[in-house]
Amino acid sequence: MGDSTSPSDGPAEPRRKSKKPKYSRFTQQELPACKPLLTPMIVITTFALIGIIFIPIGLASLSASEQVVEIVYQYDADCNPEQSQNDKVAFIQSSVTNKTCIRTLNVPRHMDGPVHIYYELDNFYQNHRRYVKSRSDKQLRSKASEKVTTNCAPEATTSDGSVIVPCGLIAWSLFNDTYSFAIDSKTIEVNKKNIAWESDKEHKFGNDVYPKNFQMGGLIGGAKLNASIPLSEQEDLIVWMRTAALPKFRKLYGRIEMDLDANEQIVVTIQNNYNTYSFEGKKKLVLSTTSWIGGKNDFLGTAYLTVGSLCLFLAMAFIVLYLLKPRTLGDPSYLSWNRNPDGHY
Amino acid sequence: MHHGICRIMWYFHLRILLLPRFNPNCDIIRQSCNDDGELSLSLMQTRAGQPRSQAIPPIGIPSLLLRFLLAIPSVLSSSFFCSSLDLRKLLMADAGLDRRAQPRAGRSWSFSEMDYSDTKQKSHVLNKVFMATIITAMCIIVIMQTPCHHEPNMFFIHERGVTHVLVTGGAGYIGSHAALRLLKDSYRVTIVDNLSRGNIGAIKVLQEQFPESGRLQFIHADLGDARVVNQIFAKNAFDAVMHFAAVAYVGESTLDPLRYYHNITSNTLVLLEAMAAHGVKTLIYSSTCATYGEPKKMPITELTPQVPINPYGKAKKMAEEIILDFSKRSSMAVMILRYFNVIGSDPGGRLGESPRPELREHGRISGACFDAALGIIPGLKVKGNDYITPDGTCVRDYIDVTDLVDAHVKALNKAEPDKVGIYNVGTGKGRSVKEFVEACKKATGVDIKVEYFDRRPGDYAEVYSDPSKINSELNWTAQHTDLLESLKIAWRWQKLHRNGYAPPKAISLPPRRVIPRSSCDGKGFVFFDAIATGEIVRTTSEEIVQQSGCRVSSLVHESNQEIFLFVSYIGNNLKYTLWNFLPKNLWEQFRRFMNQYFLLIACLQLWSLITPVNPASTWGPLIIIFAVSATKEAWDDYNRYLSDKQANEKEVWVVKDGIRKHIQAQDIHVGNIVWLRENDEVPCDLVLIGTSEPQGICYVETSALDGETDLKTRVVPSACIGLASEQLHIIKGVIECPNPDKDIRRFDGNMRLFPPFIDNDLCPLTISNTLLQSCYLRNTEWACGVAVYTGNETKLGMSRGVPEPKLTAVDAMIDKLTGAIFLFQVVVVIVLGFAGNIWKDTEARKQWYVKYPEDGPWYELLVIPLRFELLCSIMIPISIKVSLDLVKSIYAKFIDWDEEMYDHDTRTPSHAANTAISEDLGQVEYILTDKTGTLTENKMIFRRCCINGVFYGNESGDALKDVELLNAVANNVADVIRFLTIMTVCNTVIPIRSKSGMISYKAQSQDEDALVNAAARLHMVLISKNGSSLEINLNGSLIHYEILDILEFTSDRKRMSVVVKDCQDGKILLLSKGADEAILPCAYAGQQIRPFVDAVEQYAQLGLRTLCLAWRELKDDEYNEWSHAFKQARSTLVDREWKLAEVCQILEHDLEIVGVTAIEDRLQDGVPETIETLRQAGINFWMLTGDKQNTAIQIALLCNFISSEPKGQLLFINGKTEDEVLRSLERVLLTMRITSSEPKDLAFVVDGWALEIILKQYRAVFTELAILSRTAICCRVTPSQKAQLVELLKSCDYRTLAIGDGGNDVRMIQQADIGVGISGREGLQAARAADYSIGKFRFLKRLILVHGRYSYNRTAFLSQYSFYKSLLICFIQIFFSFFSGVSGTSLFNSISLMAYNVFYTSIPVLTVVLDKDLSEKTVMQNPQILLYCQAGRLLNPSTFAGWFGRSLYHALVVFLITVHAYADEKSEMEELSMVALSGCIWLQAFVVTIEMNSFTILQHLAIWGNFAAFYFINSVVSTIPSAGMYTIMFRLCRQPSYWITVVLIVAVGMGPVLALKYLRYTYRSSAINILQQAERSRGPIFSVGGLESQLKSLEKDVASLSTSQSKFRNSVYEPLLSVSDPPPASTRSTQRSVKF
Repeated sequence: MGDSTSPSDGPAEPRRKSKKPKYSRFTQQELPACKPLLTPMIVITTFALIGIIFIPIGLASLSASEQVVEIVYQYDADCNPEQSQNDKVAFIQSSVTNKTCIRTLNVPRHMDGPVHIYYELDNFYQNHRRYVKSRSDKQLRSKASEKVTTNCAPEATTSDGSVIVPCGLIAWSLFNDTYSFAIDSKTIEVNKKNIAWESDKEHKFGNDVYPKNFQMGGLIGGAKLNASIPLSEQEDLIVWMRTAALPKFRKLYGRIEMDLDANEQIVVTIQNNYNTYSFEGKKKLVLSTTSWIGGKNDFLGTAYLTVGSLCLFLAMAFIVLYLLKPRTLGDPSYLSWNRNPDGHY
Repeated sequence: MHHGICRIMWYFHLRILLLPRFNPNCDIIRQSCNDDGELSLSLMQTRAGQPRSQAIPPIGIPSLLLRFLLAIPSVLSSSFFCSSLDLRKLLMADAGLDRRAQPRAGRSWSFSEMDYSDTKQKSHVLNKVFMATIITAMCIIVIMQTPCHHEPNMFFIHERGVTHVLVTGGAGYIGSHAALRLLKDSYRVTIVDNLSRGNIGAIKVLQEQFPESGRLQFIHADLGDARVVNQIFAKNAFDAVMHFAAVAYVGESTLDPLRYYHNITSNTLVLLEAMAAHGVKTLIYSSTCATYGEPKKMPITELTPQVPINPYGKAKKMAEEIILDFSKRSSMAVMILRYFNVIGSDPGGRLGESPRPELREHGRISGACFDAALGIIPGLKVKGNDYITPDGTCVRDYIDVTDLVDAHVKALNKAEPDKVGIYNVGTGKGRSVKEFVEACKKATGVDIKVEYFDRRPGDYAEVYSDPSKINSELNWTAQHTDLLESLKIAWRWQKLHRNGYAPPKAISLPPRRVIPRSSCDGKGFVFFDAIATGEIVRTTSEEIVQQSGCRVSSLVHESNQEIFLFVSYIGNNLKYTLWNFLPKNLWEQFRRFMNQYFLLIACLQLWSLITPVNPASTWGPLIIIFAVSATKEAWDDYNRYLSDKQANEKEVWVVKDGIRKHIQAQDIHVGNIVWLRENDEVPCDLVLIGTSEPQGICYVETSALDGETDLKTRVVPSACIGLASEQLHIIKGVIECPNPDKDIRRFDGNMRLFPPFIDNDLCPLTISNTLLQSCYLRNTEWACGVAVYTGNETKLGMSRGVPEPKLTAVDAMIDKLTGAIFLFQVVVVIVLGFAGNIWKDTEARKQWYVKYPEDGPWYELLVIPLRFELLCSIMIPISIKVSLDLVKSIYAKFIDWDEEMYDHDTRTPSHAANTAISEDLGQVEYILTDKTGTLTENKMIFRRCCINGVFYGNESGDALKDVELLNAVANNVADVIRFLTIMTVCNTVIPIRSKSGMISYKAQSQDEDALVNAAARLHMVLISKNGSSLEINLNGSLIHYEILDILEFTSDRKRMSVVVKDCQDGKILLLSKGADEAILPCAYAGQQIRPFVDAVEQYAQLGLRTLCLAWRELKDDEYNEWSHAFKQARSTLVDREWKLAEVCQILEHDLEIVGVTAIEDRLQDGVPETIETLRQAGINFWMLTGDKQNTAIQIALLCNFISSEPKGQLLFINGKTEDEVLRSLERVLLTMRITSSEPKDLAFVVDGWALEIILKQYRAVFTELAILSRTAICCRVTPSQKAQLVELLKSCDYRTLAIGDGGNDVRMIQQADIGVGISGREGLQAARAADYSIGKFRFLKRLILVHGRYSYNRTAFLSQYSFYKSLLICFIQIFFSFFSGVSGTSLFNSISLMAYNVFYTSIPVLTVVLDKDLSEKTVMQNPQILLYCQAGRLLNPSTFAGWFGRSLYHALVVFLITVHAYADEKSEMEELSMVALSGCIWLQAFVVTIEMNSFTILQHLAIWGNFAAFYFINSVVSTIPSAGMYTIMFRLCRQPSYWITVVLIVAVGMGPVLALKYLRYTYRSSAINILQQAERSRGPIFSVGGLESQLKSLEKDVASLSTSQSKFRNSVYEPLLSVSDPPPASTRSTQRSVKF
């Protein structure tokens, strides 16, 4: 023992030295930083800038919205014959009643084609949890997953257990009012092609999926589908299946690929089939042109104008305040402890 | 304690029976106990043929069961009886102490009762009841089974026709051959051997040869122990004794004669006595021809006169004479056989000669030849070739061992009562050494190198015997006379057994089972045996080590067989193993309430009926968060594993089988003897048993353990002093040691060595006999010790424990807010659930397309509320915990990294041991500080002294330069010399002489260091201290002292003394030094103590530390009597400290006071400034010190703690009785109340005595005082009082920080909300216990003002922001539910929700760790700003309400704008939800931006990068057809209206926030805002003069506001300060305010 002492086991001098923290700007919390201050200058400029930018945008939006010509016709009450006013539900549910309803609409201004035809439903909760989940995207997409109807209850299968395609409440309640238009008793072509999203047609609805057992149950919900046309071409269904987030919504019915002149009288033939009476929902037929901002919607324009002017007002107010009540920034005399030097509480 | 034993024995027995392969060699170790509490002999018996082992059927489950059942009775019997085991009694008895000295236990388990509290007894009773039940049940089984556990002991009965021979030393070379021969001849053999020279391997061979029961038994016992020998005879019926046992090396005997005399004679005596007592009538004594010495005539006959010339021969002759003399008076048959060199071995190759390796050098020539042939030794050393013999080498008679044992057996057969036969056993033909060597070369075929040396003392030239007598009387002749043949046989064995007898075979072990700690409690016994570790002890102990995972502590009873009691893990700090990681980690994580909540939510989501979103939206984050936490844990554990591995695989030297071996540190078992060389690190806790220094001391550096950099002396316990290093290879004994604990200043143990190291005293052990793990051995060539604690049970390991988590005020607030949010959520759920059900019944039933069924299931009513619960579950942010943990660990890292808190003197960086409480640093309200070492440097300098009324050093301030004092020393003035002597001697300082001859001192206490150094400069130089002798150089003349005893310093005694013997005149002196109040009362009656009191007073006024020195002469008998009592006190295990103090008290009286020393303790750098700043920050300071009142006050004045008179006022609370104290207390309180409105610095001073009364009786009054007073000085307080004061302040709901540096501050540090340790001179103890450790007091300023404050600010923002963003998205969901028929539809899809919560909103805000509202400089200059943190003004219900309101507002903005902008034909669900989500993301990014105060590059990256990430990720997801948002993002980005909407959301959302913030910032600016503005507009603020006049005008308005402050606050968030109010603090800022 002791014949071979190892000096390396000695006190760890080098180790101790390395204990000193390594310098870096990060570790010393000394990263260069910009420290913006809410100085009157910056704040007033900001508000003024917002005002200046917002007002033109608002004006642009408003004018865009203003250019859109829109014909809205609510027909749910109108298209009910006098005698069944008291029992609208019975009227609509009856299979024998004549539900055709012919009305004339006036075109207020010139409408550039294509004119979009929408149907608008109100008080219809497509976003109801029970409803919105009742579909099977897989089934819609491919024939292979035809049997995937997990979420589709209570419209998953027929009473004898065979699968419904397309299953679920959404499809089952497919809107089935139809419209046809004529000007001067000349029928106007309604283009029902390409009313659905291209992406939906291509990827969400299969071209090998055909309707099956659809609307065969005891209770008929809405429209029936032609079993010989694949789902990817059932554009009405595809549009309907894009559920709306709000209880009032419009869905594209088709397009009129021509201009409509001012004061033209359009004769609309409505097949009033869809039951909105049991829940007091409204049905409207909407003919509308579009602009870069979309359909007729004054909200954004108004909001921008309001916000813009408010900001300008605030900027002005701050300037006035600044001038009336000048304040030296960072005056240490405002520090509470400096204000009370002998402060013995 | 017996619980533990029972447990172990239970395992033990189970093991034996469950494992058919268990130790195939033999040794079923049975413990049979009689009810007297003593263990009977436990024997190793041959196993085969025993009914029990025959009953063991082949393995199989039924058979295992059967074996288990069989085991129970034996387990029970042993465990039940062994419960009465009295370990201590055994020890004492073993040591040969009079048993009367022990309190005789009435019942056998009384010992355990003594040690245990009542609760333990209860379990005891339960245990017994349980046992009784089992016994009754088992009895049936036992009756049904053959009761096989008690086979008749064949060794106990005399059997006709069978001779039972006791072979002593039967494990040795000759003894084992004799036993073999006897066994072959059908004798019954009992071997007794202590294995000191014998080899257990031989026994095993014999047992394998003769496995039948009743043939051979082995008893591991020492013949020197009369009690044991007696018991052996009592338990066995011997017919004859063959006495081989003896040490038998001529060379060794000349080196260690006493041992030989003792061993040979005493053991024979003991044996004879036992034989006489038990009527054993036949003795065959194996003697030696060495008893003849150097006879004149050859050959030697039996009549040759016996003139032995070496101790061995002489001792043997004495033994013969003892035997002969005894035989004359008894009818004993005695045969004495004398012979010389024995060679050869068993022709069957079973046995051979296998001496202990360390004894090889003493060994016989045959052994040496073989060793040379095997290459173990380089060659043969023939000592002497100039003898008068034919070839000059010695001539010897070599006899083959087979012949020799034949002679013994023949002698046995011929032995007749009353007859004595003495025979020479030999060939009658001498052979020279040269001849022998030649034969050897031939036999081995190796050309052995031979060197010739000088003669060896004690060797004679030519010896051979005349075997004619044995030839005629016993009919014996040597058969194997061919030297070559004998050597060939022996060589055959040697070649096959290079390492002697083979090591024991490996034993397959059952899986580890861990004995719970509780069963290991009580004291432990560590058995150590340098030789046998490879054998019995190890096989048993090791398997239990492995089986139990516990530290071994074994105990040994009379026959040296051991019972094991168990203890703990082997070097393992890991929390997890690979296998239990997942379950254990999950379990730990789910113990948090939040996690349980989220798990519940996640589980509910699996129910598809109610889940609004994909379960993944909760499972995802939950799993991510768990994974993050688990990864962190795993990483920590992995690092622990690496460091463990490093420590565990370190190579150490350990003695095994009597040889030093290199093993890994992890293989050290308790009881191993570990060797260390200089500069080695101690691998585990050792009890020192030997060092290279003859005085038995060694030096260790303990800085890794306690931070003290001086060398400490460690001494070998008295029992082991003087053992040579060879002896340390054969040492064995037992150490009684307390359970492992973390007290590194304490180790109360006992040690006893076993024969041959006979020492009847229990040797007390203290901490100074230990080498603790992680210390380094210094200045000592080597040291060795017995491992007593290993692995995690070492003192270091125990103190490593995980600190209790401390909850910060911020955490508590967050918990509170979480609770509030939870309540809010419950309300929302109930309201919406109710509304949903109503809507469903009134409206939804009309909605035919929803197709609500007429009758729902029973739980239908619950469905909607549960859906809302799930929808709202995100209100409580799942990520908050992880985010907080993450940023907190970064705060801690910032502290570790901080260069400005790196102490260049001691090279220590600051360290945050507790990473979770940085925010609390910013909320500190009270700092309780220690004085010495914390405020002061703890660097002592001797300044003044007063010797017998004469003051030195008063003029110059330095006594060392005082000419008068120097003159007095030069003139040998008696008093002065006495004074200096006490300074020099009465201490524990170690002088170390460097190579250049300079003497430096290593002292444990700085005071002592100062005193000794001062004395040295006054020409009284302490030169050396070797063990107990001490040398002083006084003016060139040497003075010697012998230190007899040291009466150590303790904080209770407050003094230390030494008893020394003046080697000049032989007088015994008591020299004492200590605090004045500890020394002055001990003055002899009549001494004038007035001058000393004055001196103490005067010095204390100057802030100096004083010590009084005193002495007394002791009378011899007084000392002797006391010394005895002292020794006894030192060896007590219970209350040793207290008992020692009591004994010391006896001696320390009637002292003559010599003088007073005054030592200066300098203030640390920057202490006054730090205190000043922190007091400005509104932190109150209390000083808690053990020092005297005056010293404390002086220091307090020096470091700005208090102000002197006109400005400040000190109020004293004192008194000796309760009434006085109360009156004083009330008076102070009254003054405080009256003057609290005056701008005066009030402080109260209280001393430990009064404090004791106050804390006991007048807590309430004192609490009020504590609240009123900003400053307090508590002097002479004990560590526990310090902790009590912390607790008192905590109970008033103050955030307290305790700072200290010494061990006495540890309790205070642990008690406080934040403990800060100064890693200074007094060691690391405080630093280890603390949450933060810093190098200097002044770093506290930065720690609190910078790190604490930033941490608080950042956490406040982060936590509130987390709630904000969760609430934001949750509110939107709630609003949407009103548009979706209150049915619980989620607006957002699952992926978005998940990503929003854990990704988009979490990452940017993490950069808050870099946010700085004010620069460090500004904060340091305006410490008052800390008040914002203290008062919790950035995180409290009202700020939270702001955030809540903001999230509500933002949710409204996002939702309403989205809904209106995306109405009618655009109201497509997926688009709309994405617009809303974008709005949220934009808003939260701007919220972070506006709340952040400083932007570094990282913040920009995080915030804007997050945008990019949002769009990128969503675009990617938009390309997946099945993702639910296919093409949405592309569609949106193409729409101008999308961008217009989002910008609108941001403008509407942020506009008001910005406006309000601006208004507040400019017109109602807080101090922080002002400073921000000041700092950024003009750079840091510097003193602004001329403010006074301006301020005066403001004063009036302020005064009215200033009185409303109350310190009685019921919650932390209530501000101490509000914007317009003046702060309650800063009383001291009166003058300093000019600064601004």
